[in-house]
Amino acid sequence: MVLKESPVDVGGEQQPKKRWVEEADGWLLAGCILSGTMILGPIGPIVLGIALWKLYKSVKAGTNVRPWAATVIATFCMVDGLINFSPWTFDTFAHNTVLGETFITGYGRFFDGAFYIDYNSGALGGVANTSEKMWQYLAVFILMPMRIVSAWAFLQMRTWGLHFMKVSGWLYLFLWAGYTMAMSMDFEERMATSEFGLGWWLFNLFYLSPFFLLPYLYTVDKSRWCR
Amino acid sequence: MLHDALILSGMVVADLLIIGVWWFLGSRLVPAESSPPAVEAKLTKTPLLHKVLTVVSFFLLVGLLVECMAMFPAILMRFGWS
Repeated sequence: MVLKESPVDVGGEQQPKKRWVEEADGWLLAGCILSGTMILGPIGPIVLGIALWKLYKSVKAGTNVRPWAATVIATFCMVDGLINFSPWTFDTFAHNTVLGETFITGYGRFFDGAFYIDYNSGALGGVANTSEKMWQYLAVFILMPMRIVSAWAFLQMRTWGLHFMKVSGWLYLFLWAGYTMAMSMDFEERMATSEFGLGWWLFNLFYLSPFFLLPYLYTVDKSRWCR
Repeated sequence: MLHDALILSGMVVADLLIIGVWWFLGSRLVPAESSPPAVEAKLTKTPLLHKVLTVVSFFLLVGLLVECMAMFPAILMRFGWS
């Protein structure tokens, strides 16, 4: 039986049910969403910083329910999921808008030529590169939303959040392997035409998350994820 | 302008719908395994592995936040509106 509605156990005593696991989680959610939109990015990290500072103080005071490691790792996963979801969703649904085209082609000129060359010329609009389009649809409809909800459920100490984080962690590994192949095979067209040629290294750095996330998830004390 | 506003609103609705569907699926269908009963919290040392992973994760998070803050303003300053 899954204890969906039970409060988090912090010391053997039943605590009254709260909206968030930690009081600063509202700030944390707002900060992650604002940061993850990228468009509102300059505001988001400030809100997120306030949330993390409040959470850090609760850790120092010993009043925290959630381990600090879980907070940091899941916050990273949530922001990472959102900043992948947001630009790809702009390209999927809003590639004809001024905001969408400015954002996506600007990113393309800086880092990845696939987001700039022949933009809006394909059958589905937006990115014309077919392999990029395939990964984009997988990310927008499956992996990234799954990543976002699992990170939040994990932060809220839900049983299914821990389980979903493992599933999305393995799927992320799958995405990293395929995306690296696609980027490498189209290197001349995609990376060499971009402003700094840094794109390949940048995405690889941040797509490495499964390598530290999965060891954490499989060694964590899972009895604490019991909401 | 109105055309863009409509498309962007549609995008937000679609995004919320996609995320809502995954939240529904996760919360209703995923727990195929039973949650172990909550045990009384004990004060134990944080494993070294967790400390290392937290530090790595923290620095990557800072990197992401720098990207979040700088990306769109940099695009506007370098290339302007399309």
